[in-house]
Amino acid sequence: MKLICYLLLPLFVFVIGGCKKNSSGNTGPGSGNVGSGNNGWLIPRDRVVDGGPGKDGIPALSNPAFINVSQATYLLDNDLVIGYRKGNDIRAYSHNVLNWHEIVNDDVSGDKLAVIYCPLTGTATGWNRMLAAGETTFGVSGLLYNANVIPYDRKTNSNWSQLLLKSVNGSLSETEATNFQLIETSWKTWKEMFPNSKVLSTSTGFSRNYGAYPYGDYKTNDNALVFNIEPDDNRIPRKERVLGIIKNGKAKIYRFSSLTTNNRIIQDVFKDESLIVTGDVQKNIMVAFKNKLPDGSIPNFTTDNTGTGLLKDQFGNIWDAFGAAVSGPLAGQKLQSPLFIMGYWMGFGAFYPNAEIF
Amino acid sequence: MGNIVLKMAMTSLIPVFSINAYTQSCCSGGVPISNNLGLPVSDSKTIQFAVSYDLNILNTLKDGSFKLDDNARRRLTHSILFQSGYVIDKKWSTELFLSWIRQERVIKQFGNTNKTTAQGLGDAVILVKYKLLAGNTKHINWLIGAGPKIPTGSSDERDKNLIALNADLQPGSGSWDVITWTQISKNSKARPSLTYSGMASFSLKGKNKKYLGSQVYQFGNELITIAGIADQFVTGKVLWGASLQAMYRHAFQDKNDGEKTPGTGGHWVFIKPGLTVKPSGKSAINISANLPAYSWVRDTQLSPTVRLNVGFYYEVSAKKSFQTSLKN
Repeated sequence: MKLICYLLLPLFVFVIGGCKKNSSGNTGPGSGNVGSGNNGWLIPRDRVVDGGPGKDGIPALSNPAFINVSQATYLLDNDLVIGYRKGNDIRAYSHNVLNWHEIVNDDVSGDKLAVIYCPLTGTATGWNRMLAAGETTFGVSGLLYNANVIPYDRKTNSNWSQLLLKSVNGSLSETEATNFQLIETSWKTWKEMFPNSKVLSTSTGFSRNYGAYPYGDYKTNDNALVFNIEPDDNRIPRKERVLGIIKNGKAKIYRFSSLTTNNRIIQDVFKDESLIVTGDVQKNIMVAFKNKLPDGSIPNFTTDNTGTGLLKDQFGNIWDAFGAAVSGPLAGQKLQSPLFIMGYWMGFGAFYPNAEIF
Repeated sequence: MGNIVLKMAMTSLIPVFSINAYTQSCCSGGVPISNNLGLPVSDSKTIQFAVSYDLNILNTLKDGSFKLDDNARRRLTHSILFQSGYVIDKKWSTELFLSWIRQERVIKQFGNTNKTTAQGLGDAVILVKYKLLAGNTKHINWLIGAGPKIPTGSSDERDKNLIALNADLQPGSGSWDVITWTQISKNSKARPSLTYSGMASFSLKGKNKKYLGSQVYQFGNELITIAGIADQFVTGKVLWGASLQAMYRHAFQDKNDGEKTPGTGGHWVFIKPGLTVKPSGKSAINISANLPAYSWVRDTQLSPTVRLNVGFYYEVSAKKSFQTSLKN
């Protein structure tokens, strides 16, 4: 009997001592808060997960340094970059850096831009850092919903869903993000189109291997998911990069393979809006514009291959990938764009169930 | 006296040779499993107890074998480890291993400190050992063992906001594993208290089929080998033991729904000094440290910075205990 007691003593100690108490807290901004209802979340809280690195464990960049195109030797031709243009201030934010920081808080000629990039859904969005509450910067909360980044704003500590394009937790809950349109293409195409632009430097103040992709074969392996998505729509391979136009909570998807006909220009209507989607498979670029010129006339676009240009119209205007007229009668003016996002199909399929596919 | 010293050397050997096995997941400490397996060699009908506190500090960010200049993130795993064992006869012995785990993640960034913790029962191990060689003539002991790691620990912990934590921060792994273990030791003829030893273990990991509700997570299999030397000396009436070991650990990549998880797996070499005090022939107090000498991690991960272990061991003869209770 004594023998049994001796052997079971540790078990007894464990039953007594096995109570659990978990916690998570911080002493600074960014704690977020959990309110009433669905525990304060507009999205199912049960499907919000801690990705592992923790809040600010992936450090967002603020006041980033830039270099010239000729100095960006850390980039290879096939590397992807995110682009933003304000007037003649044109900037590229490389995936190489965004993979490690996910958010860049920038000021582009007065535009308070936050470039938010999720490596797991491959999606980049440009958000205005000017909120009703004032200017903010965004940080990485360390949380994910449907494998997609949840940024938080440092002004109110509210959590936001990147692909829902709004705050989903905190005092700004339900506030929609104000978007700046970004484009995405390969470094080779970028430097041909925008040789005088600025490129995000790897002098970030953080020690990282920017030449390495931190997620193994994730971006090419359609079977690989770090966190599950729901629904997992299999109409398109998960990791195929597509262009998604978002309007009124709905999405329509355009694939590179659709650009192989009709002179690489798709004319379409989505949510009562006439638009075109164009690009070039070889140049790894796809963009969307409203099908109307700044002067109100209806264009008849054809593709342009002059280097900086992407489109030309019947009036002699040449338009670049941002929709800026680089020459012609409307030089200096800009085409309007529907809100579009480049990224892996899996993200659009999960966030916009039953999305239309062109 | 020589035989006594020899026996004490043998009994103090294994606690110092504790297996410090942590599986890495997404840059961090993971779930401690086969830590400290292998209670000392002892006489038949002996009941053994050991309790230890283990602190694993991961504060070294590495990219491959290159150390990055970033210590903003710190992972701590506190473990309280309980073991009880019974030496059935000259060949067979068994032990039960239980753990209580506290996982901590602290991030100091941009002037803020964010801390996340989870704690609770960890996983358990039952190990059955068989002594292949117990050569008093050649002073060689060779044991082999095997057993299951039982998922008694929680693997679905959430933080205070009820957000699900990932595998790395869970006290338990949620999987049944199989652990195989072997240890060989030889005492010097010239100096019986001097012991050369080697140990190897292999953990074949099972699957947690309820990870984050619907995912299947499998920590990477793990190989550990240790080689070392230990000696004992007497100062006054106190017997001391000192040891120095080299430990190699190879963790394979974790798998998530059958696909390899980035930021997991690697190779590590540690230098492990240890010190033991034996107040009596039946008890021992030991302290040891794991100091990383080399590491290569897949992708970028937090890698162990230092590990400390303090333990107490006690044994009692079941025969004497049984005889005493008969008399009473």
